[in-house]
Amino acid sequence: MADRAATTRLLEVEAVRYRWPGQGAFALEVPRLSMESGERLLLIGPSGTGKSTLLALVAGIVAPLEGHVRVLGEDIARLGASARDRFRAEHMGVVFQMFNLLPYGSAVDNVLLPLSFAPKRRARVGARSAQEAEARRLLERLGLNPTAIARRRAADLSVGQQQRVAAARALIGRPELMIADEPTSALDSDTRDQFLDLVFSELAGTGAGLLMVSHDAALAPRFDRVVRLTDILGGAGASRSAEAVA
Amino acid sequence: MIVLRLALKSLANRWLTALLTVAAIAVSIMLLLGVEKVRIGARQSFADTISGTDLIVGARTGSLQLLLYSIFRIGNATNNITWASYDEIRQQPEVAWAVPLSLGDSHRGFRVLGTTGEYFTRYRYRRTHALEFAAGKPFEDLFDTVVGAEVAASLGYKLGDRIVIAHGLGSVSFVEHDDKPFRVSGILARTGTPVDRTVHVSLEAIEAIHVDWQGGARVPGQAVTADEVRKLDLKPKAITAALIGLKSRLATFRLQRAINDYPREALVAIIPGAALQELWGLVGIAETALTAVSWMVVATALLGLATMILTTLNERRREMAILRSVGARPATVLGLLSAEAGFLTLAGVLLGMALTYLGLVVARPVIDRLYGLNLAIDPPTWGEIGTLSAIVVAGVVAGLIPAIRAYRLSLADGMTVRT
Repeated sequence: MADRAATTRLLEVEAVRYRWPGQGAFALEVPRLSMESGERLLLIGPSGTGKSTLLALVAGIVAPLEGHVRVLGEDIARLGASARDRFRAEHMGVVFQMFNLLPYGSAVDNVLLPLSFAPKRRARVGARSAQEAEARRLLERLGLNPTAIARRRAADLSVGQQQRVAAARALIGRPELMIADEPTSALDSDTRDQFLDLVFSELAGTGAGLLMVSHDAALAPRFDRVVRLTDILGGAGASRSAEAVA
Repeated sequence: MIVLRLALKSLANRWLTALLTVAAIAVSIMLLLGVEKVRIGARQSFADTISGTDLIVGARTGSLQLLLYSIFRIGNATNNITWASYDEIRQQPEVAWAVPLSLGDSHRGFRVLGTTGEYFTRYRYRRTHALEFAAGKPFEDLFDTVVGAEVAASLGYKLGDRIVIAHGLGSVSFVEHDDKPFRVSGILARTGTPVDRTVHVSLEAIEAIHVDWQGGARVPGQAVTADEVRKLDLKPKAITAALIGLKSRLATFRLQRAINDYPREALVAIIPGAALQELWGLVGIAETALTAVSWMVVATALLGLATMILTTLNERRREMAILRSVGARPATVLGLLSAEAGFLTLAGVLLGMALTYLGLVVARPVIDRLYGLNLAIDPPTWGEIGTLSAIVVAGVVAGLIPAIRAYRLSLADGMTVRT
């Protein structure tokens, strides 16, 4: 995959239009958005402007009604639903704002979860014992003590610890793109900076790109590029978010 | 597989609700299987009420009516058979044995049956079981009586007790044969048939207590004492019905036709097995009702299962969004939820089966003793296995209801993980 990433863009969104099922009024329109391989892009916009919808489109959880969403050159808008799921499993890691983990699993269980759905990522990590070791290594890299938390139920971890476990899950098996939806908004500012430091250093190691959305403009200096959602939205979405900004 | 392990952990976290759901299903399965066992046992016990007898002969009437009054001691005979006709049938070359039955009197609510000593050796139930004496022996003296197990148990009779037989069939009778009391000479072992509720005396005794009666009342001034009656000719003039055993079963239909066409008296001969089947057909409505009720209980348990899973739906929405974000297909997530329902149903079915067999082992002797119901402990039949498998499938389908709902919600959730 690395060779493909080198010659093609990591992400190209083109003339995308989307409407949530059953909601006639609000349509998201994104004329254009692109990311280079390994790029760290921050998408800023107030809540309710379609940030999460855009991420769902990029992740292939939903498919656009029109337009193209190319990830590593593959137009996932043209793929079937299961192929999109498979593609996401292989090439993307996702971190939510909170409640990232299956509460009954251990931290290690949660980190290993994507490997069940992504044979190539699994192959990259190695055999069963290597998988566990890699999960522990990532947890350690993200500032957690694996021996202390590996066997604990995810629900018993603090929010900051949960977000780091989620980041480890998004990074295991070196997917090309990490997608994060306000991953730091539940954290206090110290934990937030520490979290971003750790994620960035790990990303630098694997060469993966990061697409992160936030309403927090203070994070901007840490990213390669910052895009205001209002600047890339077209049509109804643009006017709506303009109101929201005003 | 890690996903399966996490699903099991999630289930383990809800162990109490899961356990109650499994218990509800298990109880419903127990009811379903139990009703089925009792149904089969009752039908079998019913069909086993009389065996070894090839024909029952009585005055012409419906075959069910003859069966009811001659074997089940229910209802009354409208007419008798003359002794002469009985004697002629008995003399037929095909007939191996014949036992006369004379009914019409009672003792404290229990029917009195006048018969011969041969009754105790010829009567068979449950195919091959012969009557056995729990105590004492068949009647020898004219005023000896042999009582069934339930008669002895409910009236507290022991050997040597003196009892008085009432004329007619009411449990409280003002017209009693109190001048000629009987002595209990034998008590029969329990059979689970109407024999248990019968007081047996000799045919001659039936004649003896009616010798000074005419038209249902004692003839005034003609009282015959118990000692005087012994000197009289007590050969009965009529009987109510007769059990016939044949030398060869092949002759059954021929003799049946001959008796039905008997020229000197209107008689009817029935084949017990066929008449029992016919009677069960009438009683069978109750079994259908029972089965319907137990199916409804199973449906209730499955609805409970769907409800239980529905209540965890919010948690499940989150689970689905997380699983989808790491690349699980909707079918995988849907499958996990309905697999959980299927797993719980399977556990309930297995537990229910185990409890049913345990219950059978424990309760079987008691039920046999108290109700004469012989419940068979057999491995499940293919029919039962089919039914139980269908219930597990129904459980999976019940699980699909919340699963599809959770899937719809997760589609609408997209990337947003809700609490």
